[in-house]
Amino acid sequence: MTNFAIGLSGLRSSQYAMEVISNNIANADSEGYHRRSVHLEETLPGQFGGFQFGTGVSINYIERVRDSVTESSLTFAISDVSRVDQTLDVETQLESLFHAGEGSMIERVDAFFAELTKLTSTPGEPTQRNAVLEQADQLSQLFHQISGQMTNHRSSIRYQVEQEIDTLNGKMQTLTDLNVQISSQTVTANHELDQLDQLINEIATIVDVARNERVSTGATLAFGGSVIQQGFNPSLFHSFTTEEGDLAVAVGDSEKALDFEGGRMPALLDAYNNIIPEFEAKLNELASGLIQQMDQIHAVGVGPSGSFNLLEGNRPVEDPTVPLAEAGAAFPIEAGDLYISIIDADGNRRTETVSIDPETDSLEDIAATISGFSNINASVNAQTNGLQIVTTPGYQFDFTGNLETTPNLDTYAGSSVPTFSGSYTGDVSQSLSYQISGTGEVGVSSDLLVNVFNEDGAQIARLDIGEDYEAGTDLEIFDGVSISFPPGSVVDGDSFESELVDNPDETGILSALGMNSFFEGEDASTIAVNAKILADKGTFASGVSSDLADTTNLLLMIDLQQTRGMANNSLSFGEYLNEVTTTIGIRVSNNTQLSSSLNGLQTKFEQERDSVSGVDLNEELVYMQQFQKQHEASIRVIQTAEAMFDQLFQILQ
Amino acid sequence: MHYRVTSSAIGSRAIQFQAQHNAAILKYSEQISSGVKLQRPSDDPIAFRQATSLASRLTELTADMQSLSNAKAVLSTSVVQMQEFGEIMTRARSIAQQGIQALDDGEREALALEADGLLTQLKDMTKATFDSAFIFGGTKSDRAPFEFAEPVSAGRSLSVTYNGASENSQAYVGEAVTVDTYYAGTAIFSINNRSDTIVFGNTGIKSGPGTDTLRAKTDLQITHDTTEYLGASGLLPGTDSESLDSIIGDVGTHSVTIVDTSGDGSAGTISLNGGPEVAFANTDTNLLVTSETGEKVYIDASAITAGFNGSVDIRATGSLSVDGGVSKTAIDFSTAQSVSDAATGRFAVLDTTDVMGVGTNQLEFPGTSDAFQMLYEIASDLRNERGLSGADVSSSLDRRVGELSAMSDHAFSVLGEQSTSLATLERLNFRLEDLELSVTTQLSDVQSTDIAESVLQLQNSQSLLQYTYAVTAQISQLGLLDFLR
Repeated sequence: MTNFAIGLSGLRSSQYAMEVISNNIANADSEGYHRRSVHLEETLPGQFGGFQFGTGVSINYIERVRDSVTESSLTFAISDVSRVDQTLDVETQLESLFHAGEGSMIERVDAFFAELTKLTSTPGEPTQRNAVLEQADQLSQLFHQISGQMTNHRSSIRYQVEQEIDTLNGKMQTLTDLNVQISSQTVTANHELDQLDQLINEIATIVDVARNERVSTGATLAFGGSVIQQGFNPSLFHSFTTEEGDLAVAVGDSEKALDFEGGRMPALLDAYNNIIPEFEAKLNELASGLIQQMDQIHAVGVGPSGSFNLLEGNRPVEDPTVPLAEAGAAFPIEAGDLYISIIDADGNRRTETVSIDPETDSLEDIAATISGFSNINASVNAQTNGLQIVTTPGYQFDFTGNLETTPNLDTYAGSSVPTFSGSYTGDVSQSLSYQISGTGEVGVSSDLLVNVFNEDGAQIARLDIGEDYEAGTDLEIFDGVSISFPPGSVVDGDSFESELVDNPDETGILSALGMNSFFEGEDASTIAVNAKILADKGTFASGVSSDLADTTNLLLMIDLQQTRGMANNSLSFGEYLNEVTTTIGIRVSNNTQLSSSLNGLQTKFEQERDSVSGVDLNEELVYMQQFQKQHEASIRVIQTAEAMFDQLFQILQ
Repeated sequence: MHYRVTSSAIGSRAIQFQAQHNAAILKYSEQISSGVKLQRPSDDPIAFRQATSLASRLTELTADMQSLSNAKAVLSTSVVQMQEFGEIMTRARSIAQQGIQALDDGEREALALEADGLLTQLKDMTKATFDSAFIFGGTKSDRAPFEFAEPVSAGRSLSVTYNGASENSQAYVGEAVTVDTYYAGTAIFSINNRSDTIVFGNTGIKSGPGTDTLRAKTDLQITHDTTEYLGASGLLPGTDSESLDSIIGDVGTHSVTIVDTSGDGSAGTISLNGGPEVAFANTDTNLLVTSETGEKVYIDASAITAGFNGSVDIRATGSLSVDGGVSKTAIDFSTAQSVSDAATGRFAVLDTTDVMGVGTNQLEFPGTSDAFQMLYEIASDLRNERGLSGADVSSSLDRRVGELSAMSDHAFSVLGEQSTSLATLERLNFRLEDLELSVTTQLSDVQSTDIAESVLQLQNSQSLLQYTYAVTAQISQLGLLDFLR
């Protein structure tokens, strides 16, 4: 009966092989499927007459064809591609925020300064004044919009991290289940191993993972540089916030942040912790720079509505009782002088000086110093912690540093009271002293002189106010400053002083406190055009006087466009914004190339994997032909054996 | 090692390459359709940065050119006005010259009427606006820069008040250049070439030392205050002396001579400054005594010392006023007496040492009239509203000619300054246009699509896509199944 048995073994083997081939063909396009290969072996031979005779064939094993090195490389490539693509996705969105075609941030900044330029030539045109404010408003709104979108984007990334963790934990549970199934089976669990491979590659899209397979304990997996014994109990991940405020992911009960290198997770964490905050900081730096520099100019000017009876700062400090350096002011305050001009009902202007040392002076101290001057009072609003300054009725004030109308006449006995005119164009604030030489009538008596001395005591001018001088006419001293003596007397030895102010606020306190500011807020999320200016466009300080066509301040504002006041005074606004846009552009460009390269690598590994594990239909058909022939031959063997037996039985019959 | 190719691999490659080619087709289609090859910074960060900088520069240049255009329009308007101003001054000078040679009042009146017309024209010119802003108001361009008021007396000039600012408005026109646009009217329509003050009149007052501050011209009113007879003559001022005496002078200037014909002071004669003797009696308390030159004193002869014969020195005090009597300054008979206008505080320093009597003098301050006052004064002098002598009228008109020449020169000087600014703006405009063209060209080079190249690339990608489809189809058609029976 041996012949029947051999034929039967061939018949059975070829049938099983056909099933394996059929399954391969059926799963040719199944994701994660590794082709199976049937390995036959000769059954144990029998002995007869000192000879061994074969007894047939059996299936030795069914191989899940797989190259573990390629599989591992592919898993790493998947992680890398996922990370780069996720980073690219975040950066592309940031790129769009900073440069969203028409109406981009750069265009808005340019348009704002363009409208300022146009206003200098049509200062009396209300429409042009509105255009400046409209552009500023739109620029502010764009800052808001981008800042808000960044915040939302960051929030959605945090949500995405949580989602990814949920997904990851689900897969970890599945992984555990698979490990249990694999270890519990007595045969090689090819199906489950396929699922395992597929699952690990899916996990690799979330976090980088390396595995070391052990049938007894399941796979040993390494996540984020830490080896985690993934046995029959799932290791679950969770997010937490580090002491530094960073979002991090840890496993189990640990609070040790895992340092992932691949997958979407590290890209999301990097976007949340670094990339978005980096560009938020840049956006805020730009907004803060614009606010501070514009406000510093605006604060020392006045608009057509004129000087002020009341001003209230819109940027409070956190604590008005501690030195300004520690008070939490919006912008840094330097040591120096603040010059306040107080104007009486007749338009006479006097200058008061507030010396500020932020290391020792609190806001309360500053308010007290200002209140020490006559006709003006300052206080800190108890509700807002903002500085407010108010004048007594009939008086106004501003911070223009314009020349005093008349000097302090405590040591002056003459009846001809000198008045100053012009605008100081010098580049350093200084005090000049004046001494009268000769006694007599201005413009009448002979030998009447005014000697002018600088702070060092050096004589810088000698003015004739005697008989050759037309009383009341201007005598230029220097740097745009003139003095005039009206009809009246002067007395030999009389003296007085005047303050020439180059920078009315050497400290930056006005912008820090939001006094007479152009903008409200202090960063991209809070910037807005001062509501008071929008309500009364005459308060837009285009000049240093209430004259409608005074463009003095506008010219300074226009200068800001070219002034390198950003990034440690190395870049202008436009250059800085360009730098930011270019930076993100370069990153997107680099990551696009990297993504392409890594995708190519992944494709290569997939090709290599498929070249080993993929189902080639033609190859399977060849195998099918092969086993079909074996099947036919086995049948023939049985038929032949049957014929032989029939012939033998005929002898017996 | 042989390489196994699976149908799955063929399929995935086909999908990959068709996606790649489609992406390229989309990219080149976008470039061709929009005309811009840089859609986003990552397309070419460095080129994009360059393009953004150029676009910013273009925006800046456009704004500069707009501002420059506005400034040019303002200056052009101003230049037209300045040309007219210069022509008015030239014509006014001609009128003044004709006035000097005019033969009769009718001709002078006709010239005066023409001067009136020029003044009206000039006044209207000050209201010139551009874009609703007064071009001669300086930085205060929102209000009419000048206000005019007729003088309160014939001896005074037109009252001109400047409400504008003394600073010119400045416009930024690009390339770090600013130009003055709205000029301060006071600097345009007035110049200060003050020369010695001229006093018209016969009161004995002369211009004093120092520099006066009053402008144009004004009346100087010299009024009588008191008369004091020195010595022991017993002569007293009459009851109308204060109001009607016409003499003013320190001791030594005027005197009366008394001849007591009665010997007891009850009657006699009295004469002023050697003039006709007037008989008096001790009942006369308000006797008018007139000198040969018309000087008058009212005396009280009721207390003349008996037997007094001889000369009596007189100290007659008076006051000066240059503001129509609003304020008065007592004459101190000094060489430098200051008389002020209470309204303006401006003053004139006068020499009153030789003042003789009351009256109204005309003070003229050559070189201080503004253009409006000059035109007004020409008409005034042509009509001789100050009642000057023919010679003085001619002399005054002659001075007007000089002043008008100076003002005309000034007008053309301002015109030249503004024309130079305009020329500068024109040159700057050309430069900005050149720059704009250059920047536009550079921007185009950097960011615009090279259509030919993009079309070729598009065509290439389309061909590659077709090949991909064809190859995929071809490979898929080959299989062992086709050969199995």
